[in-house]
Amino acid sequence: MSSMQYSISSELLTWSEFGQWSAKSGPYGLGSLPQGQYKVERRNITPLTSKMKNGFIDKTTGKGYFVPITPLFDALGRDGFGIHPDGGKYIGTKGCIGITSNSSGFYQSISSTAASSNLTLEVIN
Amino acid sequence: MKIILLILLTLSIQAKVLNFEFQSGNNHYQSTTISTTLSDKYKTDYKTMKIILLEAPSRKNEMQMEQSKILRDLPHFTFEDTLTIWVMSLTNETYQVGYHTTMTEAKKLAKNHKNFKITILDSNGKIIKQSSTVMSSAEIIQALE
Repeated sequence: MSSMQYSISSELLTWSEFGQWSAKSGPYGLGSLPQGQYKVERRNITPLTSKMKNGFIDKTTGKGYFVPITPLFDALGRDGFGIHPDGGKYIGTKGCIGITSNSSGFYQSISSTAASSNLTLEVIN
Repeated sequence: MKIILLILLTLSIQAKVLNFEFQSGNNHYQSTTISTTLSDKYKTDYKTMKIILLEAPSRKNEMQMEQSKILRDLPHFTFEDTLTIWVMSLTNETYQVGYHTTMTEAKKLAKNHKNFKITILDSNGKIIKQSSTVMSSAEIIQALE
Protein backbone atom coordinates (compact mmCIF):
# COMPACT_ATOMS: atom_id res chain seq x y z
CA MET A 1 0.00 0.00 0.00
CA SER A 2 1.19 3.50 -0.83
CA SER A 3 -0.13 6.56 0.92
CA MET A 4 -0.50 10.17 -0.05
CA GLN A 5 -1.40 12.96 2.32
CA TYR A 6 -3.06 16.28 1.59
CA SER A 7 -2.96 19.12 4.09
CA ILE A 8 -5.77 21.66 3.62
CA SER A 9 -4.05 24.36 5.67
CA SER A 10 -0.58 24.04 4.14
CA GLU A 11 -2.01 23.29 0.65
CA LEU A 12 0.50 20.50 0.05
CA LEU A 13 0.00 17.08 -1.48
CA THR A 14 2.73 14.75 -0.23
CA TRP A 15 3.61 11.31 -1.58
CA SER A 16 6.69 10.18 0.29
CA GLU A 17 7.95 7.90 -2.49
CA PHE A 18 7.66 10.56 -5.18
CA GLY A 19 7.55 14.11 -3.87
CA GLN A 20 5.40 17.02 -2.90
CA TRP A 21 3.10 19.33 -4.87
CA SER A 22 1.40 22.63 -4.10
CA ALA A 23 -2.35 22.11 -4.44
CA LYS A 24 -5.62 23.90 -3.65
CA SER A 25 -8.89 22.41 -2.47
CA GLY A 26 -11.84 24.82 -2.43
CA PRO A 27 -12.92 27.55 -1.93
CA TYR A 28 -15.92 27.12 -4.30
CA GLY A 29 -19.09 25.13 -3.70
CA LEU A 30 -19.00 23.60 -0.23
CA GLY A 31 -15.28 24.34 -0.03
CA SER A 32 -12.31 22.07 0.57
CA LEU A 33 -12.79 18.32 0.62
CA PRO A 34 -13.60 16.82 4.03
CA GLN A 35 -10.88 15.42 6.25
CA GLY A 36 -10.50 11.64 6.32
CA GLN A 37 -9.28 8.61 4.39
CA TYR A 38 -9.86 8.23 0.65
CA LYS A 39 -9.24 5.47 -1.85
CA VAL A 40 -7.31 6.58 -4.92
CA GLU A 41 -9.05 4.96 -7.87
CA ARG A 42 -5.88 4.04 -9.75
CA ARG A 43 -7.74 1.97 -12.36
CA ASN A 44 -10.14 4.80 -13.25
CA ILE A 45 -7.74 7.59 -14.11
CA THR A 46 -8.62 9.78 -17.10
CA PRO A 47 -5.21 9.82 -18.80
CA LEU A 48 -3.27 12.90 -19.87
CA THR A 49 -5.11 14.67 -22.67
CA SER A 50 -5.80 18.13 -24.06
CA LYS A 51 -9.44 17.18 -24.60
CA MET A 52 -10.80 17.97 -21.15
CA LYS A 53 -12.78 20.83 -19.67
CA ASN A 54 -10.65 23.90 -19.11
CA GLY A 55 -10.81 23.53 -15.33
CA PHE A 56 -8.83 20.28 -15.49
CA ILE A 57 -6.14 21.63 -17.86
CA ASP A 58 -2.71 22.81 -16.74
CA LYS A 59 -2.25 26.19 -18.43
CA THR A 60 1.49 25.62 -18.86
CA THR A 61 1.24 22.22 -20.59
CA GLY A 62 -2.20 22.51 -22.20
CA LYS A 63 -3.02 19.04 -20.89
CA GLY A 64 -4.99 17.64 -18.01
CA TYR A 65 -6.00 14.41 -16.27
CA PHE A 66 -8.36 13.28 -13.53
CA VAL A 67 -7.54 10.86 -10.73
CA PRO A 68 -10.79 9.94 -8.93
CA ILE A 69 -10.71 9.61 -5.14
CA THR A 70 -13.49 8.05 -3.07
CA PRO A 71 -14.10 8.88 0.59
CA LEU A 72 -13.88 5.83 2.88
CA PHE A 73 -16.32 7.52 5.27
CA ASP A 74 -19.74 9.12 5.10
CA ALA A 75 -19.17 12.39 3.24
CA LEU A 76 -22.88 13.27 3.60
CA GLY A 77 -23.58 13.29 -0.11
CA ARG A 78 -20.41 15.00 -1.26
CA ASP A 79 -18.74 13.01 -4.03
CA GLY A 80 -17.02 13.33 -7.39
CA PHE A 81 -13.70 14.29 -5.84
CA GLY A 82 -10.44 13.88 -7.71
CA ILE A 83 -6.88 15.07 -8.17
CA HIS A 84 -6.19 17.14 -11.29
CA PRO A 85 -4.24 20.19 -12.48
CA ASP A 86 -5.82 23.41 -11.21
CA GLY A 87 -7.09 24.97 -14.42
CA GLY A 88 -10.10 27.12 -15.13
CA LYS A 89 -10.75 30.84 -14.93
CA TYR A 90 -9.79 31.14 -11.28
CA ILE A 91 -7.39 29.55 -8.85
CA GLY A 92 -8.97 26.88 -6.65
CA THR A 93 -11.56 24.12 -7.04
CA LYS A 94 -15.01 22.97 -5.94
CA GLY A 95 -13.42 20.50 -3.51
CA CYS A 96 -11.09 18.50 -5.74
CA ILE A 97 -7.35 18.70 -5.14
CA GLY A 98 -6.11 21.06 -7.85
CA ILE A 99 -2.36 20.81 -8.36
CA THR A 100 -0.80 24.22 -8.93
CA SER A 101 2.86 23.27 -9.44
CA ASN A 102 4.44 20.60 -11.66
CA SER A 103 1.15 18.79 -12.25
CA SER A 104 2.80 16.67 -14.94
CA GLY A 105 5.23 15.39 -12.30
CA PHE A 106 2.33 14.02 -10.26
CA TYR A 107 0.90 12.38 -13.37
CA GLN A 108 4.23 10.74 -14.18
CA SER A 109 4.44 9.45 -10.60
CA ILE A 110 0.99 7.89 -10.51
CA SER A 111 1.44 6.49 -14.02
CA SER A 112 4.56 4.69 -12.85
CA THR A 113 2.55 2.67 -10.31
CA ALA A 114 0.81 -0.55 -11.29
CA ALA A 115 -2.86 -0.31 -12.23
CA SER A 116 -3.56 -2.77 -9.42
CA SER A 117 -1.83 -0.59 -6.82
CA ASN A 118 -3.66 -0.05 -3.57
CA LEU A 119 -3.29 3.70 -3.16
CA THR A 120 -4.80 5.74 -0.35
CA LEU A 121 -5.00 9.43 0.48
CA GLU A 122 -5.34 10.95 3.92
CA VAL A 123 -6.76 14.46 4.07
CA ILE A 124 -5.82 16.41 7.18
CA ASN A 125 -6.35 19.99 8.23
CA MET B 1 -50.40 52.41 -5.99
CA LYS B 2 -50.06 48.62 -5.78
CA ILE B 3 -47.25 48.69 -8.32
CA ILE B 4 -45.37 51.36 -6.34
CA LEU B 5 -45.74 49.34 -3.15
CA LEU B 6 -44.52 46.23 -4.96
CA ILE B 7 -41.47 48.10 -6.30
CA LEU B 8 -40.70 49.48 -2.83
CA LEU B 9 -41.06 46.00 -1.31
CA THR B 10 -38.78 44.51 -3.96
CA LEU B 11 -36.18 47.25 -3.42
CA SER B 12 -36.27 46.74 0.34
CA ILE B 13 -35.74 42.99 -0.09
CA GLN B 14 -32.90 43.56 -2.55
CA ALA B 15 -31.20 46.03 -0.24
CA LYS B 16 -31.36 43.76 2.82
CA VAL B 17 -28.01 42.55 4.12
CA LEU B 18 -27.70 39.20 5.84
CA ASN B 19 -24.72 39.06 8.16
CA PHE B 20 -23.96 35.64 9.60
CA GLU B 21 -20.99 33.54 10.68
CA PHE B 22 -20.03 30.22 9.17
CA GLN B 23 -17.05 27.91 9.10
CA SER B 24 -15.21 25.13 7.33
CA GLY B 25 -12.75 23.05 9.31
CA ASN B 26 -10.83 25.50 11.50
CA ASN B 27 -11.57 28.49 9.30
CA HIS B 28 -14.26 30.96 10.33
CA TYR B 29 -15.95 33.41 7.98
CA GLN B 30 -18.51 36.21 7.93
CA SER B 31 -20.96 36.62 5.04
CA THR B 32 -20.25 40.35 4.73
CA THR B 33 -16.44 40.06 4.69
CA ILE B 34 -15.69 36.71 3.07
CA SER B 35 -14.81 38.31 -0.27
CA THR B 36 -11.97 40.22 1.41
CA THR B 37 -10.84 37.09 3.29
CA LEU B 38 -10.69 35.05 0.06
CA SER B 39 -9.10 37.89 -1.92
CA ASP B 40 -6.27 38.05 0.62
CA LYS B 41 -5.76 34.27 0.46
CA TYR B 42 -6.11 33.62 -3.26
CA LYS B 43 -4.93 36.99 -4.67
CA THR B 44 -8.05 37.11 -6.83
CA ASP B 45 -10.76 39.77 -6.95
CA TYR B 46 -13.83 38.26 -5.27
CA LYS B 47 -16.08 41.36 -5.57
CA THR B 48 -18.45 39.45 -7.87
CA MET B 49 -18.62 36.35 -5.67
CA LYS B 50 -21.94 34.92 -4.50
CA ILE B 51 -23.02 32.96 -1.43
CA ILE B 52 -25.79 30.38 -1.55
CA LEU B 53 -27.24 29.88 1.93
CA LEU B 54 -29.36 26.77 2.33
CA GLU B 55 -31.44 26.69 5.52
CA ALA B 56 -33.40 23.69 6.78
CA PRO B 57 -34.07 21.80 10.03
CA SER B 58 -31.94 18.83 8.96
CA ARG B 59 -30.43 16.98 6.02
CA LYS B 60 -33.52 14.76 5.94
CA ASN B 61 -35.80 17.73 5.12
CA GLU B 62 -37.30 16.88 1.71
CA MET B 63 -36.95 20.37 0.23
CA GLN B 64 -33.35 20.52 1.41
CA MET B 65 -32.65 17.18 -0.25
CA GLU B 66 -34.25 18.30 -3.50
CA GLN B 67 -32.42 21.65 -3.49
CA SER B 68 -29.07 20.05 -2.65
CA LYS B 69 -29.47 17.63 -5.57
CA ILE B 70 -30.14 20.57 -7.90
CA LEU B 71 -27.04 22.35 -6.60
CA ARG B 72 -24.90 19.21 -6.89
CA ASP B 73 -26.13 18.64 -10.45
CA LEU B 74 -25.25 22.12 -11.70
CA PRO B 75 -22.58 22.03 -14.43
CA HIS B 76 -19.26 21.16 -12.73
CA PHE B 77 -17.60 24.56 -13.10
CA THR B 78 -20.63 26.75 -12.31
CA PHE B 79 -19.43 27.42 -8.77
CA GLU B 80 -15.86 28.23 -9.83
CA ASP B 81 -16.83 30.28 -12.88
CA THR B 82 -19.18 32.44 -10.80
CA LEU B 83 -16.97 32.47 -7.66
CA THR B 84 -19.80 30.96 -5.65
CA ILE B 85 -19.77 29.17 -2.33
CA TRP B 86 -22.55 27.12 -0.74
CA VAL B 87 -23.23 27.29 3.01
CA MET B 88 -25.39 24.75 4.85
CA SER B 89 -27.37 26.01 7.84
CA LEU B 90 -29.23 23.32 9.77
CA THR B 91 -31.07 24.05 13.01
CA ASN B 92 -31.16 20.48 14.33
CA GLU B 93 -27.78 19.08 13.29
CA THR B 94 -24.30 20.24 12.39
CA TYR B 95 -23.15 19.71 8.85
CA GLN B 96 -19.38 19.31 9.12
CA VAL B 97 -18.17 18.32 5.66
CA GLY B 98 -18.27 21.77 4.06
CA TYR B 99 -19.16 25.39 4.76
CA HIS B 100 -21.72 25.41 7.55
CA THR B 101 -23.16 27.52 10.33
CA THR B 102 -23.38 26.34 13.91
CA MET B 103 -26.82 25.22 15.07
CA THR B 104 -27.02 28.38 17.22
CA GLU B 105 -26.40 30.58 14.17
CA ALA B 106 -28.85 28.49 12.13
CA LYS B 107 -31.56 29.04 14.77
CA LYS B 108 -30.90 32.80 14.71
CA LEU B 109 -31.21 32.83 10.91
CA ALA B 110 -34.35 30.70 11.00
CA LYS B 111 -36.23 32.80 13.57
CA ASN B 112 -38.75 33.93 10.92
CA HIS B 113 -39.28 30.55 9.35
CA LYS B 114 -39.32 26.98 10.58
CA ASN B 115 -38.76 24.98 7.46
CA PHE B 116 -36.75 25.68 4.33
CA LYS B 117 -35.17 28.72 2.75
CA ILE B 118 -32.61 29.34 0.04
CA THR B 119 -30.93 32.75 -0.22
CA ILE B 120 -28.40 33.99 -2.76
CA LEU B 121 -26.20 36.82 -1.51
CA ASP B 122 -23.61 39.02 -3.14
CA SER B 123 -20.07 39.59 -1.83
CA ASN B 124 -21.32 42.19 0.66
CA GLY B 125 -24.03 39.95 2.07
CA LYS B 126 -26.83 41.72 0.20
CA ILE B 127 -29.74 39.47 -0.73
CA ILE B 128 -30.01 38.96 -4.50
CA LYS B 129 -32.72 36.32 -4.44
CA GLN B 130 -34.56 34.43 -1.72
CA SER B 131 -37.14 31.69 -1.76
CA SER B 132 -38.96 29.46 0.69
CA THR B 133 -39.55 26.94 -2.08
CA VAL B 134 -36.98 24.99 -4.08
CA MET B 135 -35.23 27.08 -6.75
CA SER B 136 -34.70 25.55 -10.17
CA SER B 137 -31.22 25.31 -11.68
CA ALA B 138 -32.23 27.97 -14.25
CA GLU B 139 -33.27 30.38 -11.48
CA ILE B 140 -30.04 29.76 -9.60
CA ILE B 141 -27.82 30.20 -12.66
CA GLN B 142 -29.65 33.41 -13.58
CA ALA B 143 -29.06 34.80 -10.07
CA LEU B 144 -25.38 33.84 -10.12
CA GLU B 145 -24.62 35.49 -13.46
